[in-house]
Amino acid sequence: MRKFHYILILTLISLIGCRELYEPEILEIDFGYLVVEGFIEIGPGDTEIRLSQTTTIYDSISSVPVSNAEVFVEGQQQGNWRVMPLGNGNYSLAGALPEGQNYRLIVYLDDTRKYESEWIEPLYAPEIDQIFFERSDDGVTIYADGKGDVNSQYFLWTANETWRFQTPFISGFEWDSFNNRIVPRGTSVNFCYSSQVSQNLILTDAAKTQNREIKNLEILRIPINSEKLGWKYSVEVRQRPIDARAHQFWDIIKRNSEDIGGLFSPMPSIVESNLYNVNNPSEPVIGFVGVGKSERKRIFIETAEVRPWVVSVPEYEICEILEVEPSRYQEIFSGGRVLPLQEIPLTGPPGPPPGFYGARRVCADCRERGTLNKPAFWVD
Amino acid sequence: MSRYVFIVILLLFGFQMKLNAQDQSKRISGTFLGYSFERFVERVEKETGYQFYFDPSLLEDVNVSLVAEDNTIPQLLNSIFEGTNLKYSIFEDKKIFITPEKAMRTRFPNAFLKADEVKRDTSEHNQEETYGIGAFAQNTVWKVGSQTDAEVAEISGKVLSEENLPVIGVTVSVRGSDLRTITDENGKYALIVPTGRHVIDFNKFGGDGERRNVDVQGPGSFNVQFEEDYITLNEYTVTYKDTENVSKVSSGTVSMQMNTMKKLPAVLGEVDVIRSVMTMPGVQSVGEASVGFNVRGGAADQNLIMFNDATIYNPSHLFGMFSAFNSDLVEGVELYKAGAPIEYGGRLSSVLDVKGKYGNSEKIKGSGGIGLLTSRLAIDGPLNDKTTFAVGARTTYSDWILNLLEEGTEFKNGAASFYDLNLSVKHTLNDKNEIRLNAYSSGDEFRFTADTTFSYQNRNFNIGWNHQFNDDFSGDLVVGYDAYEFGIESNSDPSNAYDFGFGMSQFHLRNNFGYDLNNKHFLKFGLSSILYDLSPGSLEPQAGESLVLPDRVQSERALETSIFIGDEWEISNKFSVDAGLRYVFYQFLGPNTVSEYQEGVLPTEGSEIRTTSYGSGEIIQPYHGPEFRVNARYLVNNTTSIKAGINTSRQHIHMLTNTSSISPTDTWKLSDRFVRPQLGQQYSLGIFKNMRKNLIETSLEVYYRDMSNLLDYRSGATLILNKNIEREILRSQGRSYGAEVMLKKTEGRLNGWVTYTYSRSQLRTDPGEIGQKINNGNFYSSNFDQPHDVLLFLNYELTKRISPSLNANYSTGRPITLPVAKFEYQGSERVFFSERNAHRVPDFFRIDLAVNVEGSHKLKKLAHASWSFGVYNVLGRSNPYSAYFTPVNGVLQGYQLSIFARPIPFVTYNFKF
Repeated sequence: MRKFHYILILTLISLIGCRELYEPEILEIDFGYLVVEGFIEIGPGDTEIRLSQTTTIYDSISSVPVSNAEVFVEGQQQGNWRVMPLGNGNYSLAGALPEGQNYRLIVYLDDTRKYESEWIEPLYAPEIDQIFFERSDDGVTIYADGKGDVNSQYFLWTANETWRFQTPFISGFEWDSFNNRIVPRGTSVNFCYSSQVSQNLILTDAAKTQNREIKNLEILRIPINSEKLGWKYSVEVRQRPIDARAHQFWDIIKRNSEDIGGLFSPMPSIVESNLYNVNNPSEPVIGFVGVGKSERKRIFIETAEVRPWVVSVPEYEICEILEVEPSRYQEIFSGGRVLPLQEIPLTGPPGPPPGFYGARRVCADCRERGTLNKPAFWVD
Repeated sequence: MSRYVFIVILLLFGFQMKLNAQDQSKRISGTFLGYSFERFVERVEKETGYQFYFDPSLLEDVNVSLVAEDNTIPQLLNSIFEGTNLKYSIFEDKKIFITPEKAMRTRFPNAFLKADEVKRDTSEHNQEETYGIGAFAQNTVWKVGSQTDAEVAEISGKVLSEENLPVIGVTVSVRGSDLRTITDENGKYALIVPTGRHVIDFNKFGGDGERRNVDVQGPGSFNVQFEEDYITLNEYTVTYKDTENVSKVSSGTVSMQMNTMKKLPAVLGEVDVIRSVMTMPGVQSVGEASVGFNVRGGAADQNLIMFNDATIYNPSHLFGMFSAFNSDLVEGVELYKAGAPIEYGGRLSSVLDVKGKYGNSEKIKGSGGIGLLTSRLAIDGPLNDKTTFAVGARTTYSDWILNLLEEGTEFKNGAASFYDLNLSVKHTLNDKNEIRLNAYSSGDEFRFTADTTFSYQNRNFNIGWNHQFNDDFSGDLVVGYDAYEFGIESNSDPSNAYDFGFGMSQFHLRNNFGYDLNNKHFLKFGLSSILYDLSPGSLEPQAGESLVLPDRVQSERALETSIFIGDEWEISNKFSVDAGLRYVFYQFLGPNTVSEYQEGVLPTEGSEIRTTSYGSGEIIQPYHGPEFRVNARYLVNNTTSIKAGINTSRQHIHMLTNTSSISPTDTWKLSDRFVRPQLGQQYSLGIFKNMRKNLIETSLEVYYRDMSNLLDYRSGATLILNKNIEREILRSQGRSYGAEVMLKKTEGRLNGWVTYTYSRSQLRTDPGEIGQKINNGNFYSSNFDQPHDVLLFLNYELTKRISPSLNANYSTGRPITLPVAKFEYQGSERVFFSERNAHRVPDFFRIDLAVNVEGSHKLKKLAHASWSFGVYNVLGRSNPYSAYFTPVNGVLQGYQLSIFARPIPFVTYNFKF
């Protein structure tokens, strides 16, 4: 019976299929609505604002950064601070803002378009208790413990991951295109750092638990074989206190992108904003700006803590060592797509070197996928 | 209760039909609907000159309801007396005598015959037992009876099988004449034939038979034995309703018998009551995943689903894939699309009345089936000569079905199981009183991930009592209890482990009476009352270290009472009206605490002024209002009618859902101060025509409906565990209209139907609502607005045992909401939606095939087996249920989700014993 059963399962699984890639026809109108992302930081840390415009669904770029706007933070009782452009749509205001008053964000796109947020009351939150991880057969899960208090009920949790990684091959040499020859490399390029903003949006409602305690909150999962844990990994978890309306905004953002199209998925909702165009209040604006004191906590995880951890990187599956004869050095190495690794050692009688080992750039230069710069917070 | 005898012109079977050789060629045409026998006689006497003789008390409860078209008197009488013990004899002088049990002899041996003297023939037949078998029997001349001078003689006898068992339904006919009869359930026949040599054919239903040369010399007995096995007709196709679609007054009704449903190709071979109904025009669904159905533009919660007087709140298994009715225990279904019978109410769109079996009265019988997904078993029969029962169970084997869904996605660790149990008992106290008992239970448990388990249960119980005060007046009383609950159990980690529960129950009582006032009026009246108790949601931490705070939305209670009266009024032979009024009183009752908000602003936390507490049983909010059900029919001629109707309805219980198809975690809500009753009205008009002697039924129906106080929700509303749902609700209005065309061939080797439906279903936010309006307050398509729908179902009887069938369905894709722009937020591409339901998924097209194979019909077998196998979605077309965009590693990707995207073969083994 059992065997029969399995045969049935196997035949039937192969018979029913479900999710397929699909590109429905959608009217390609570029609305270019303003998108405002940011948090006015009252506590230590910078106020960071990002401005962009929506694009069409099939556009190859995700968003159009708005870099030439004038952005201000205004205090209801006192103060007006300019948020300085950093380029690529990012704006930043360094230093802590005074507590005890409401704030609003003002954005001038040009003379005719002024956007304002409502007055927003700052929210404060207790510290994050701890960030910890658990190793399971499926990988590693990062958790947070924290709590709310009478003033703070809703939180948005986000995470920023950074990890150190290595290329499969070490390139000790490089092509000197000025002299057309192979020279030893000045700095090593096989260890790099990479980072990523976690796309998981985690929302909590502390009013649902005893003493507003938040326990074992899953922040993210690192799948087995991930490169992130190949050497050393760090994650900074940020907890932002938000109000009920902001909670609803983030919840819609989350549901619209994560819980959609399934059998019992809710129908998509329209996102609201706490900003509006002063000259044309009916114009849709996307984004919910918060004000308050966010909490951050960082942990590091070494490979040794999660062993055995075998790394498998799809990009490195193509990596192989080439042998390049001296006559072909220029042809192979000068384009920069193949990097010289090291000399092929002499096996026979002494003489000129028989050639160089080479590998594709991505296999030996980690800068293809990361940066050599060690982040300031990094502890070796 | 008065008994109507519906007829077909030529019945295929009957009890010992007796015809004599006289000329009865006088033919009659006309409509006799709801006639008493006396009135029928009056008309026939006038038209034909025949005279009837009978004892009126014998024929008191025989009612005539037939449409005659060039029929002979015997044909009509056979139909009317079918199923009664009445017999008739027609004498040469146009006198017709009606007697109980035994027909009068119309000719007697000359010696007995005196002018004007008629005597009952009590003499025994001159019997000479005659059997015969094989070729020898066919070629022998059999002598029947002993020599008399009579011109006619009655021969009677039995038709037996090889195993000496009686054979029912064998046609006995005399060659070269129109003398024929059919054997009864004991294999007996009787026929009056002229004396002399005859060839008599004994033909099995639809098949070969035996031939005998007989020399009838006088009254005698003649038995015949069949050589081979034969097909037992356990289930008769009831053909006497043929003209009903034309003659009945109400329009927009669909009825389907179980043997039709069994021919429809089914998902994974599960004969499905609700999916079968979806093959009818005007019934649509959001997608193949759900048995939630939409009738004429109404939402799925606007259908009242009844199973032997029980209201089934969640009639589905496997989160909506299959309907929760065991096919072995269902007789048939009736769907009222345009106004339910007056005794039903409480829902806006339709009533689906699933009629369960109460068991046969002959012997204990069993049936069952083994399919890919479930096994089922049912037993029915008599407990004693007054009590019959039907009991059954169905269960699934395991959870592998989930592996078939959304392959490789979040359902990977899924599991599912379900069951349903039925018990129905009927007990006849005496010929005036009958008691019924029904119990039904169904349960489901499933999980998509390893740590969250969903479950839901239906529990229903009711007792009914039918009492016949006199022949014209009867009453029916039903009391019962219906309950539905679901729960979610999550134990992903001990500190966040919780149990969520939703529950609702209703006590109900319905007392209705039928009174046959006279031939022109049939009155129905009564009252019905429902006490609802609803627990909208409770959250409990699981024992142990769970930090989850217990939470509970206060329970709701309401009483809905209706009184109703209706009259089926036959104004003339051609024109009939069925008019009813139902007055509904609804009270939302305490204990409860109700928020009050400032006038003219959105109800929010900020605009709340105060809360008021009400004590137990206090009326918090009453609603009341009438419902009208008016249907009229005009018979243009015997085969054509025009029908029109106006129906209004009110609904006080609402499903809270913001998913497109019904989900197992949808909760219900009672009307309160903020949630007003949903109101609806429907106007319908139809023309019905039967052709080729009722072989082909056609109809064209058009309708227009409007609805108000439908529930929609503000953006981002949370419906579960919401203590102030009034802050989220957006009242909506709906309108729908359409045309339904149907062509149906009811009988013959090739039978089936083709339907075309044009329908629109639109909604808009109530103009009276303050604040955000969906699509700027304009009308937009509902989730099930599929304008064009074509369905073809064909069944072909290849042989008596093998009948393939085909089902093809095309419809416009359903509306969906697609994003109009994208943006980047929190490291990922996200979507921006604007207009609701402005796009559609690609059109739907599917073909299914099924073959039903009856096993051999040898009687000595232990069980009669049949197989049904086939392929669902033969073309393997991906019919998308939804299309959507979701970010994959931060980049948007478009997908379509199809439920049954490949051909799905199925096989089911059914048996009967």
